Amino acid sequence: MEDKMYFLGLPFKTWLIVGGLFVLSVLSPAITAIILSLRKDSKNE
Amino acid sequence: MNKSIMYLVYFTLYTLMLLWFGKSGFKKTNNIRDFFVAENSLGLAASVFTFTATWFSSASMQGLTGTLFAYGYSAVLYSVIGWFFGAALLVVMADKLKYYDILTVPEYFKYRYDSKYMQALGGLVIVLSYIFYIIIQIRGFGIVMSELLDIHYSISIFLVYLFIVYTTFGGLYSVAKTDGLNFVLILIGTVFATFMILKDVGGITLMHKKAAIIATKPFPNFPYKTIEGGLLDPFANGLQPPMIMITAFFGWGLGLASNPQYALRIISAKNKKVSIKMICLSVFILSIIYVNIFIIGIGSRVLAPTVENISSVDEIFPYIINNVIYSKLSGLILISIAAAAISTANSQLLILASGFSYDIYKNLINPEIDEEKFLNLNRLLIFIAGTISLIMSIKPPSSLLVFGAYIWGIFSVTFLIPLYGGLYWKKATKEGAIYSFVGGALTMILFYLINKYKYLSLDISINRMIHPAFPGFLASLILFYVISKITYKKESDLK
Repeated sequence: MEDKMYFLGLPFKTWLIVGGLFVLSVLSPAITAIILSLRKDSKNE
Repeated sequence: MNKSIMYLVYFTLYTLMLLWFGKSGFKKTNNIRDFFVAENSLGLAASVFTFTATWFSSASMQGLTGTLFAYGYSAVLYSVIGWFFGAALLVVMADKLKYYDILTVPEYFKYRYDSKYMQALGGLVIVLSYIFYIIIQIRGFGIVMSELLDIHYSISIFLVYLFIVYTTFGGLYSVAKTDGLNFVLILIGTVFATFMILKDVGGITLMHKKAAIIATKPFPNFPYKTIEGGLLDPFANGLQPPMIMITAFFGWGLGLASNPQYALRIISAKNKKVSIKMICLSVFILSIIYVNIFIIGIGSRVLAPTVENISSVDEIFPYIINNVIYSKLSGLILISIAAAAISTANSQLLILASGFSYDIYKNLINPEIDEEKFLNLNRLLIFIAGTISLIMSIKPPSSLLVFGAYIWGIFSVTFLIPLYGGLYWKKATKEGAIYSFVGGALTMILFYLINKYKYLSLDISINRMIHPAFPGFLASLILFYVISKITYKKESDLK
C-alpha cells in the first residue's frame, strides 16, 4: 500500500528512508554542537 | 562560437584565475606553520570555502552522479548520509582537538601517547592512503579534461601538474585561496547543470515517473540491468542490499570522521568556535549541492537510459554535459567538474607531503632541519607524490565511489579509535593505540581479500557481503579497549 503512494513522483518509502535519513544527517553536526554546548553549560552550573 | 574554441576559452580563463589565486598564497608562506595550517588563522568564510571544496571531490561530482545514474537513490544511502553523520563526529573532535598545539594529526598521537613512532605510523598511513586517493582526483580530472580539450585521457592527466602541483606549492594559504574559487565554480556548475537537466526532462515529477520505468543497462559493460522501479527504490530493488549499505558507513562515515584532511581544517581554523561553525555550515551548504547532484544523476539517466560509448560510471556526468544537454554553459560546467578534483587533490597532496616530511622525516630522522630547506623538501615531495599518483592513474579503478570507500575505510580502522579514544578516555594507552591501529588495518585487509576472492569468485549472494571497514573497526575498538585496560592497570600497579 505504502509503495503506491507518491510525492513528486517518488515513492513515500524512498522519501522516508532516503529523504528522512538525509535530513537527519544534514542536521546531525548542528545537533551534536548544541548537545555539547548544553552539556558544558550544565557542567558549569 | 565553435564548441572547441569556447571550451578553450573557459579552460584558459580558469587556468589564469587558478594560477593568480594560487600565487597570492606564496607570499604569505614563510614557515612550516604557515605552510601546513595557514598559521591557525583561517576565519569562518575561508574555513567554510576550503572545507566544502576539499570535501566535494571527484568521488562526489563524478562518482556519485554516475552511481545515481546506474543504481538510483540507493547511492545516497551508500555515501552522502554516512558522510554527513561522520561530520557530526568531527564536531565532537573539534571540541577537544583545538586544545592541542599541533600541525598534523599524527603529531597529536605523539603528544597524547608519548610516542614518536605512533606519529611516524600515522604519517605512513597518510602517505600510502593519499597516494591512492589522489588517483581518484586525477582520474576525475583526466576524464573531464579529455572531454573539454578533446584529447586522450592518458595525455589529459598530465595537465594535473599545471593545476594541482602548482596550487599546492604555496601551502595551505594557496590551497585555501584556490578552494574559494573552486567552491564558487562547483556551486555554479552544479546549479546550472540541474536547471538544464530539469528543463530537458520536464520537471522533477516527470523525471521520477520516467525513471520508474527504466529497465536497461546504464552502459553496455555494466554488470547489472536496472530492475524496473529500482532507480527510485532505497535499495535498488535488491541490487544494493541493506547490509552493504549499513556497513559502508564504517568505511565512508567513520573514515570521514577521522580523515586528516578534515581534522587539518579544524586545526587551521582560528579558534574552536569557528571550527565547529565551519563544520555545521559546510554540511548545510553541501546538502544543497548534493540535492543538485541527485537530480543530475537521476535526470541524466532519464535523458539517456543507456549510454553506448562509455565504460565506467565516472564518465557519465561529463559525457551528458558535453553530448546530451550541450549548451553555451557546458564549458563552465565541465570546468566545475575539474574544480572538484583540483580542490581536493591539492589539499591531499599537502597532507601527504606533511605525512612524510613532518611525521616521518623531521620526527625520526632530522628534527633540526632548517625551515627553508624543509619547505623546499615539502615542495619536492608534492611533486614526487603527484607524479606517483599520476602514473598509477593511467590504469584507474573502475568506480571512484567504491574505491574511495575503501581508502576512507583505512582511516576508520586506524586513526579513528586512537584519535577519539585518546581525546575522550583518560585510560587510553600507547599500547592500546598501537594494537588498535595495526589490528584494525590487518582485519580490514583480510576482509577485503575475503570479499574480493571468496564472495566474488564463488558467486556467493551479494546480500551477505559486508564492507571490510566494519570488521576492521570492531577489531580496532576491541583491541584499543582491552589492551588499554590491561596496560593501564599494569602502569597503575607499578606506580
